[in-house]
Amino acid sequence: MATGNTRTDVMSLDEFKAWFVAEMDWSPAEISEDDDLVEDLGMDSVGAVDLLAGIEEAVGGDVIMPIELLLQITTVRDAYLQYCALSHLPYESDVPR
Amino acid sequence: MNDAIAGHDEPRLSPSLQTRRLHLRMLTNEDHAPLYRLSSDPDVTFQWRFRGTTPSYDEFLKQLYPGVLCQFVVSPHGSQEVLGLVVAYNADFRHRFCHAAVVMHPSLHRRGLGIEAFMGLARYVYYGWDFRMIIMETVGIAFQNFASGEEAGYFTVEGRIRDQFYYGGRYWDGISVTHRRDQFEKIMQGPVGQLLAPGRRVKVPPPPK
Repeated sequence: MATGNTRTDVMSLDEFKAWFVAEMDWSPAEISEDDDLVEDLGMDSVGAVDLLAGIEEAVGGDVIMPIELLLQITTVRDAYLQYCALSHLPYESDVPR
Repeated sequence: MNDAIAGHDEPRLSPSLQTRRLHLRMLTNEDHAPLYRLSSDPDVTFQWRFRGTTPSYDEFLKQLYPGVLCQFVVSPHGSQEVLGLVVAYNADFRHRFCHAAVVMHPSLHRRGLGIEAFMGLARYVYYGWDFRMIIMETVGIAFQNFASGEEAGYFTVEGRIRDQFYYGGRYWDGISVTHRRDQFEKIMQGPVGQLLAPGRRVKVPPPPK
């Protein structure tokens, strides 16, 4: 996984699902991209912290998952899409003013 | 000084009220109306101070400060939007503990932001007072939102009154949990510590119209 100040290559959805199962202690062994994190996988606030911190670490570059992206996550697929978004969005300091 | 409590790599003389996504700030008069609306939200009211009753605005304001040690509005970085409130109250200086409560907008439940806000409050409290523990009283229906934290070592369930509170056609347990100073310092070494760490923000484009 990425560390330091660089963001790494983006995982495919299948790679993300494998990562999810391996990294989230609360995840069942098999998941579908359509699984609802709360209703189907039983994620609570503590699980959400694990997911947030895990995605930020996977993206690397000490990036912060913004609240706007966080609120769009309901399913495993949503988590993957926001992981992808976080991997590609420019840092605020890099945006021309 | 413990770095986890200082919230900084270097010892400093004031605790940070910034968390990774949030800032905790003083209440202003402009926050009273949004907090009044939040307190009466159907998804919040039965689990918060007024337990489903509908106090007048004046009564709400009278009850906002008594017993409070410190309380902060929870807002996103760069905004004054009211996402919630964190409160430390009923401090016992002889026995070195206080109580705490967190209320967040229902759309933010199970997103981890309530824990982030609480950890910001805990860092402030443990920095400023030599308390041994923070006590929280909760209701089973709300406890579900963070129950796995007991196994993860975030807190300890100290007591449970079976079927204490009635909501939604059934009785729920009343639950007392403690978050002790050593638990705070320990969990700050894991993912929770990241909640209070600074980082780099990305530019999020506005949603399409």
